[in-house]
Amino acid sequence: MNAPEINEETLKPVARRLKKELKSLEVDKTGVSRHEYGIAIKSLFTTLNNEKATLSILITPGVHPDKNVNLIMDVTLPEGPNMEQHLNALSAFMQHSTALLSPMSMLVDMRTNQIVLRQSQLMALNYPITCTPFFNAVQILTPLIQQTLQSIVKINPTPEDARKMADLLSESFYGALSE
Amino acid sequence: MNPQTRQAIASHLTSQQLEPKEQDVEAPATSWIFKFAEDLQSELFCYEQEVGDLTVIMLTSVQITPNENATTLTAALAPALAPASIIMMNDVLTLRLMLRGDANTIPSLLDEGILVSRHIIASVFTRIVDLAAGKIPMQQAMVTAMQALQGPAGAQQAAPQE
Repeated sequence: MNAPEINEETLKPVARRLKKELKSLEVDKTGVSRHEYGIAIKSLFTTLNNEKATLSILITPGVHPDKNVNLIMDVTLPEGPNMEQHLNALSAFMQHSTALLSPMSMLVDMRTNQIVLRQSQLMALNYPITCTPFFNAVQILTPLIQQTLQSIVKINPTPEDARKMADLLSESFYGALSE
Repeated sequence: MNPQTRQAIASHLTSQQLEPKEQDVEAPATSWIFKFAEDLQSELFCYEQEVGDLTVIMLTSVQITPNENATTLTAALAPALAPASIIMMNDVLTLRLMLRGDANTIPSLLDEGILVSRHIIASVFTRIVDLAAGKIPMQQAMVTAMQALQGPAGAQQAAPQE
């Protein structure tokens, strides 16, 4: 899809608001960079099990750049086991999780083989966006996903069994949320 | 849901000849089904926790032959489709898009959301469905889907007149 022409001024207030919010969360450091396709914010943070992870937020103009903006928030989980031998099971697990954890998506970064949790949206420029609920959800999910990936490597499940593992993951996640 | 927001969504879909029908769903959601294309419908699930904070989840689904390679291709294509998400579960392939705004901004968001979704469905869904049906191999499905996604018939050129 061709990117609409960037009017950085319209994206800046969204970036400023999110950067300020990240400061209030306990992230290690935050950088903002401008690109031809939009504005990127990158933060390093420590997971609840004391590993380093990255939160990247990409803000790009919508098809109607004077009105709408695409916001993509990605957390790249710490490096996990090599999943290449388990692609069908991993895909089934990620796809099933994406359905159950709506509006979040679970993806894999093919270059680094790392799992990415994403929340993305098309939103009005003046929408009062906040990244804290996503950040908090990721903190709960990260160790649960890491455990599941270890299990997939260990037991080499069928895709159908990997979907059951996604069911268990979402049950644990929503259980933790309601506590 | 605030009556003004409900009205804004229903009347905008009607004005675009998308024939919205409100569906019964569990509160606090409000839901419509509308005509997305000649032979395809979409569903909207709308939540407005307070006035001015509207979240709309748009889901457009097609039937597909259950196939683990198609699930793997779907997972491989998913990172390229933001802000939309793609989900294959059993015999259903779904495009999910989250829109956030308010009663004033939702018409433009709906137009843009439908435009982006139509582009992805035309360029990517067709290849996944063909792979699942055994009509094309994995590599060809992946390459042609990516080419179509980035091709000249992109969303901008297809933008509706305002």
